[in-house]
Amino acid sequence: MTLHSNARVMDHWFWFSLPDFAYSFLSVLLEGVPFILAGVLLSGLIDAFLPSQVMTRCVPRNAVGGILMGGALGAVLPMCECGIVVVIRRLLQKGLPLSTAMAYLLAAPVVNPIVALSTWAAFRGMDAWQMMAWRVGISFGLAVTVATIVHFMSRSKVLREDLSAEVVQGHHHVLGFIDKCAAAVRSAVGDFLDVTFYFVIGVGVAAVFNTAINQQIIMPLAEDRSLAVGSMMGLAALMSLCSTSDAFVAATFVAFPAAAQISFLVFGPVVDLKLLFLYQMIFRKKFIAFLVLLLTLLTWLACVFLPIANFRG
Amino acid sequence: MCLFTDCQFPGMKRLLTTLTLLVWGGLLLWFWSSGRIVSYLHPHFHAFVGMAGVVLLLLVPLWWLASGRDNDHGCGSCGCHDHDHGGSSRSVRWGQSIVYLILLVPVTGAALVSPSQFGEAAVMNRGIITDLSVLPNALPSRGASWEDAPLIGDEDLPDVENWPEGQEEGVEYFTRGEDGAIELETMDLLFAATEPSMQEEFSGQRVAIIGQYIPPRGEDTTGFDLVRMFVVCCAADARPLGIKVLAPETIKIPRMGWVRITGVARFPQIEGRTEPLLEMEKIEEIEAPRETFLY
Repeated sequence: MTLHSNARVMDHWFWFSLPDFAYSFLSVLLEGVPFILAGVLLSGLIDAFLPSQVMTRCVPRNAVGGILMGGALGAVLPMCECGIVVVIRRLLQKGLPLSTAMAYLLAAPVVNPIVALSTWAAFRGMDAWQMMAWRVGISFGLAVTVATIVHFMSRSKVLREDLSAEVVQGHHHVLGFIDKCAAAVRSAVGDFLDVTFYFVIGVGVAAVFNTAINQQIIMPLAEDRSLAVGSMMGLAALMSLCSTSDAFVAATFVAFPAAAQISFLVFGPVVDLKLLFLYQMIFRKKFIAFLVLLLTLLTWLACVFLPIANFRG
Repeated sequence: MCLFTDCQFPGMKRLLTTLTLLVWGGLLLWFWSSGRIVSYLHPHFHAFVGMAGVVLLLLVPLWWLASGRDNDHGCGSCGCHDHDHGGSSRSVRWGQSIVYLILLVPVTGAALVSPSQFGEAAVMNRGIITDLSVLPNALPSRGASWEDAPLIGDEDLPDVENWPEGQEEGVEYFTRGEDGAIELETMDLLFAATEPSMQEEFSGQRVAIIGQYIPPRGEDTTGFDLVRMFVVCCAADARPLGIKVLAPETIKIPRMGWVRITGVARFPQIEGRTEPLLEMEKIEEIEAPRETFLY
């Protein structure tokens, strides 16, 4: 009896198919747009109803306190990585300190109860609690570290010129309730067009890699921890999965050490192809390049050198 | 590049924004109401798509009313920010025509082109999973979910902890077709390969399974894969679950075509691991089931 395992056939590394691309592209759009819509509606309400003074009163004046609060805010206001970008942009316009915003932006897609639970569920029977704790812990640490570095950077070097100017010049008109509601709708629609534009481009690029790249090509790298971590980070960036479901995909890479699976779960929600486009709504391109390099380095170092045991031997 | 600026063609911008909201809202609502969404997302997300479609369509009249009020309150003269109070005019600087093209064309095109299922390229690129231990959240089906089967949500997943007494993992639980074959999913045989007691139950039994045909690759032209996509969230995370089928002769079926295979289940050791194998007796081409995914 001769059997051929297709899973072991590696006669190509790139195989593009337009129908596959269209299918994957559409499925991510259908999944993401409702969350983007929730984000822009929240953003519109913040724009119209949240005075800047409230923001400055709520955020600790102490930078460390602000960063820690930003890192933990996702536990109270959970947002996925698609929806949060537009909310962060609006909060920055309302005067949220940059370092606090950065901590919230990077932590919220993972440091929230929904993602923690989905991670636990995905790794059921595979040291789920440890996988969940490492994922949430490293993501929080990563967000706080990057936010601390950004705290010492000039706003104008980080934020887009128009956004940076709006923070400085932001002020309020005295509007009635109806006018505020109208402003919220206008704001939400404007934000929807903006964020969906970046989202469509990002998802399009991600769908090419999600469907055309042979994911088996990284399997030989599984035995070396540093290479395994790097390759899983690369795969996470290319696949551009939602943080609420990526753990279920990571769990299927059983040949890889736990540290590599965690790197997939930590890196994907902050750096992926669609986010590279979405980040352009907030940041300068040079800063995005710096941010990606910083996150890549920190995630790799954390997952290679932290004492993450290979739970499954 | 910029064809429709606020100052030059405000009417055109209004029209295109309205069109964008209508297209996105309409598409979302159509996918949800027509049931096409079933082939794209896990049932948990279906309602969100429908709701988002409704909200986007509701935003159209609200946005028209709101735009009217924007002209009334007269803040345009202050020059501090744009009339949209949002990001849309930022897009004007990019060249609005390009923005609207990207917002409208790819999604419409994809909706027209998408076959609502993956082809062989995506399946092979993801690698066929033949070991269910890599999917700890995958559970046996407790009966095949074939034609006209209801949507499977978490509430329908088997509670293996409280399996009915006397039916523990037993073949009696599964329904049999007219030809007496036990009707299973690919997942059931893969699950059985991890459970010695289930292997005993199924080994040597005639079973019938539906899935998509992946033709043989290599010298042997009679051993092929039968796959079914396992989805957690959306099609982008779909993983192909496959079982080996040994046919008595070379099969001529379109690649990725839907088939119903009847045969005898075996659990041989392949490279030190127990894998399910179906010794095929009969193969029939069928229509794609309403529920193409396994959850």
